[in-house]
Amino acid sequence: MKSTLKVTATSAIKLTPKQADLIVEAVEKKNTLGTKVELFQVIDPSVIAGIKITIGSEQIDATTLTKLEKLHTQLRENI
Amino acid sequence: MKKTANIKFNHSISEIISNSDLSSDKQIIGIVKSYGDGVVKVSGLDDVKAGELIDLGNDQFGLALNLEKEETGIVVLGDALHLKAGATVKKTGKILSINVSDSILGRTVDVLGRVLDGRANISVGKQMLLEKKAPGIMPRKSVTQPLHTGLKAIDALVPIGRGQRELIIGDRSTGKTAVALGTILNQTDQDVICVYVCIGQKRSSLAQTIDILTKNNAMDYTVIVAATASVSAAEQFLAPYAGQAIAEYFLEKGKDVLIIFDDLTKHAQAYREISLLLKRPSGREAYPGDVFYLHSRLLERSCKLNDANGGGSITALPIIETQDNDVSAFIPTNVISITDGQIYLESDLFNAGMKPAINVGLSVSRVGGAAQVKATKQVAGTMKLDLAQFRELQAFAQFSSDLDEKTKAQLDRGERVNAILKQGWDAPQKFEEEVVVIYAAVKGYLDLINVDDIQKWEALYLEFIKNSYSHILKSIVTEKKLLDKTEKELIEAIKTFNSMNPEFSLEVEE
Repeated sequence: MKSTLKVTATSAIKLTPKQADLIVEAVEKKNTLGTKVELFQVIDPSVIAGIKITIGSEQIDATTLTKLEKLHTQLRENI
Repeated sequence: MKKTANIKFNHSISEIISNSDLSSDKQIIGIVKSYGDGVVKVSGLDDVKAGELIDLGNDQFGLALNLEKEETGIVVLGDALHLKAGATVKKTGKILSINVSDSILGRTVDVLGRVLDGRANISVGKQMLLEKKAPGIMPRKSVTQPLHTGLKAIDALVPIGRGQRELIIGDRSTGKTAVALGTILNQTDQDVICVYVCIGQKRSSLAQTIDILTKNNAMDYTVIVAATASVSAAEQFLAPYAGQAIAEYFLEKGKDVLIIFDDLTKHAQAYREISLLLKRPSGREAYPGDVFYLHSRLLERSCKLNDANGGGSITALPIIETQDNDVSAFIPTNVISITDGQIYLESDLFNAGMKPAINVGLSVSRVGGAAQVKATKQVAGTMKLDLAQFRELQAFAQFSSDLDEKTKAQLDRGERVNAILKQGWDAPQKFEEEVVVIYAAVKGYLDLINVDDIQKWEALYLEFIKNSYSHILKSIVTEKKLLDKTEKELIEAIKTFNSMNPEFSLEVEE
């Protein structure tokens, strides 16, 4: 039995089924092992907007919260 | 007026915001399993490298030290009280390094190069790796140039050369730091950069040190790396490496650098703490197996490079604190065997008023002799032997009241040579001054001077030479040795001075 590849998507509001499908599709395209991709959704309003996708120990963080934090550090460095 | 300033401000802010990089790249994260005693256990963190800097969030960083199959052990630099089980930490991909530029001179920084003196950040220069391999064999050169400490006892008897590693060892409050600080003070106009690494010291002592250096204008060429007693063990463990990285920045520029580690006993203890918390097997005195390597890899980075490699040098003065004069304890023996000699300070001598409290018999310098200036060698040549004989006779003379003339003369001479080595740590002397003072003592021109007055005699004598016979000092500086002609002039100067100041002389019995 093939194990599944767990993908966690964190967003502020629930993803529409179409959005969820898009994510699964995108991951499947990259997944060379051919295992089944399983999507877990986490609703966390504190991220404000955007999405954070975690696969194993890899993470792509495109949430507004992280962007604001990045802006904060960069402003502090430059002023 | 106010409005235009506001507009300008708004404009520059919006410029920074529009230029800022907010792209979201792929990152490697780890999940915190546990956090206690400054050690974070993390799962995930694929492909993490040993010694890699880990972003713990909240502007705090950790260092990946233990790589295991399922977990990574990270020691926290600073404190990370915001961490909870399940929190995420990020790989930075950076091996621990410190930003160094010329503007670091005169500043106090922590192990990551963050400023501690409340002034502007260090301008962006070069990233220097904290852990770096020591220079190989080929780029090195043997020690040829002296590093004057300004203390007669050291410059004459245990001379230090540029690129040497000389250990300062002794019990608590025997003046170890004072010797090191005096050496920094003496580097004014010597074109030597000083790095003072403070490991596990009291903040009050460090504040005092900075104060002394500032007052004596020594901060202009000094950098302080501070890991005081209140910072985490991990920071204390890394501080000497950060200091060495700063020193290497200046070494690459062909400069001579003096680095002081105050002290490596606390450093070994900090490393022991980390190792025990990471559950590494412990050995003698509960130190981990690699505690020797801990110090050898640090001190091996001190070197004298050949001219093809810039000709710079790093001279290291590590300090070790002993318990009850026990130099055969684990850490002292380790560091003694790594260094090129040691300056042994004794509390008995210190209490007897001998300052600096250097035990001349046990102190050695294995390579510095080659770098000693000829003039110093000429006057101090037999001094070590003389002093050893004096101590032997002194012990012997305690039992017999009846001494022959020769023995008595030897004792008198020894007493005066010993007295001339007494010197305040904050009163460093130039080497030419040391030469004329030591010359007077070893050639017997002090034999008729009252022992209690020698300090006074010395001060006035130096004043006299500087005012009336300054060409003697000049000749020693330019020739680097005592020419026959200069020697004759010096004898004449001493005789003139003694006849001018009869109040110092002993009353000669009829």
